[in-house]
Amino acid sequence: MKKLMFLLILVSFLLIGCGKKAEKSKKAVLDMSWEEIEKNADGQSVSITMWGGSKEINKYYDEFIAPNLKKEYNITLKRVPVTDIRQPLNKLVIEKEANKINGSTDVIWLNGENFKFAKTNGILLGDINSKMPNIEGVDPNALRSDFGEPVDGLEAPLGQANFIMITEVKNPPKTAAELRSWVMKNPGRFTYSNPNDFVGNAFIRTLAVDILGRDDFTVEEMGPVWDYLNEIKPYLWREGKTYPESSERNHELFANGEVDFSISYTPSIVENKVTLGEFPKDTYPYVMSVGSFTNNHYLTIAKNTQNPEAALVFINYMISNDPQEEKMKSSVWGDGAVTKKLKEELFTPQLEELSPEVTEGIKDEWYEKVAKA
Amino acid sequence: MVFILAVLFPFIPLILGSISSGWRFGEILPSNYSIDGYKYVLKSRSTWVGMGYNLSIAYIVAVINLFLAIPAARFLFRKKSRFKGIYMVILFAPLIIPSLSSVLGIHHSMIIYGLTDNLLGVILVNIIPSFPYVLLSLYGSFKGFPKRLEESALIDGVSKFQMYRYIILPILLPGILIGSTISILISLSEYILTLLIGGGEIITLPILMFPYLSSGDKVVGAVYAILFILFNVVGILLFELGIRFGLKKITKIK
Repeated sequence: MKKLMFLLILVSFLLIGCGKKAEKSKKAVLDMSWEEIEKNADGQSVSITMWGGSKEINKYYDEFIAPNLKKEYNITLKRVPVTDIRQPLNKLVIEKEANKINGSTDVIWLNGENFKFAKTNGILLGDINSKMPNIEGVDPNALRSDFGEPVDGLEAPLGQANFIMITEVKNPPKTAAELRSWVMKNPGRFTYSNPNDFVGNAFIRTLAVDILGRDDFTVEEMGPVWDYLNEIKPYLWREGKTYPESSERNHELFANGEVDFSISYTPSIVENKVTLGEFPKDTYPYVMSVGSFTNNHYLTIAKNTQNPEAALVFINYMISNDPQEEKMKSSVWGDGAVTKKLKEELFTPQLEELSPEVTEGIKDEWYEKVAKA
Repeated sequence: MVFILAVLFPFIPLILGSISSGWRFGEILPSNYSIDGYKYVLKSRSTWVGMGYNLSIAYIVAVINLFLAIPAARFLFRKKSRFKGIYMVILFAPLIIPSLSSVLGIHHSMIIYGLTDNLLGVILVNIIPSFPYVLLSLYGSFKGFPKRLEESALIDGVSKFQMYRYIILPILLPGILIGSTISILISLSEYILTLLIGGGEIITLPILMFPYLSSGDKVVGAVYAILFILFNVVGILLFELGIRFGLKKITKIK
């Protein structure tokens, strides 16, 4: 018993020993030259904190990125899967308040609301884009703003999503007016997912740009859009009494032949689902004539990272050609590329994403003025 | 037979889900099957690392809980004190207060003391939600334990330490088994505390599994869930065997 006690105390001391990490003197990494950064990164390890709910994406990092990063730069990649990126961001805010300078979070995968949150709370490393040589090859549109929030070099684009319509109908309707007449001629064959779903929301935004003729409107000015949606409502699937709760559900209706259209933010989904036999063979994506809402998802670095050099080298690698090309394959991930060389020219014109205020406002207004009406 | 079916019933969709591919809403049985989910989960290194961390945390926490709870339960049952009610409230508080809220409260201090992003901190926060259950099951064990036994032993000149070893431990065995089982169950499935305090340095099965269950790939989620069930059962059985064997050794009168 005494021995046991002694053992327990010994073990707990050992654990405390493990807990104390060697403090590194951190020189401001953003003042170093790129050569110096690469030299220091050699042998470091870097963690990427990301949403971990997709087998394909996780495999892409574990089986393609990690071995290459090890081979080319001698950097070890560690994946930290989370359900919601807001959790690690909140943790960084608390760490900032506690003045913790040696954090465990290095690279974070985020965009939109979460980027805005991280930027306002000052938990990001700084202007990383001006440091990385490969940023040259990236589409400049993706470097400007992330859902209306100026990027300021704080995050580097990793991939791109475009809003597309999916159908097998010949000569599909490409304007709001054409869509209205198609829907009225074919009652019950069209629907769109509830705007609480990001994709359904983008459908309404696209119509709004068409109907209002501009893309700088506020939610208050959207009266004509609600009128339009109410006008087509009785001719929708199930007479517009109910809407699919997600674009996934919309794809199911399309796959089962209940409706003739679906909507998505991932153009490669069409090829995927045709290959799987879920979608009919002649299914194709297209863009409404006003253009396609385009947004990017980004990689950024936490301010209190202990491996800033490895983090920079890792992100710089991610925006180079090979990882971008691999990521595009629909069998791998099917995510849009951000490098000028690989960018899809199919989905033009591109529309800048509207601010979160409009996106959020559409949810409530639509519910009041269309769903309940 | 009916009972066994009733127990197994909820697992049928889970097992089907884990071997399905493209199981659509409205279909009673999946139309296509594949074992890709199993291949991915069992081939991925993090799965095994996660199980290792999971098990070591759960076992260490269970042992610490027993060390803390046996004296505490004895004290609550034996001592006549005016403040007994207050002690009870304090010791059983984690049953009522969500552990996440208390950990969020001490998170800041834990960072300052260097107790985040490492195993020690994760073990400490895992004690919070599991300790009261261990205490509760041991408290119950003391009920049928006559005080006279302890008194007569002390009169016969047994030291306090020997009394714990030869009298209290053997009588408490059922309570210890139940308590440690619950403790292991709770810490094996702990998600948010481990993620928050472990800061991604400590990866456990729930951390890998949850992203798949919430709006992720349901097939992989189902595979992880099945693995997690088996892992829990095996983990608990091993610990119970260990405890029985260990206590036998310790409490044997030479």
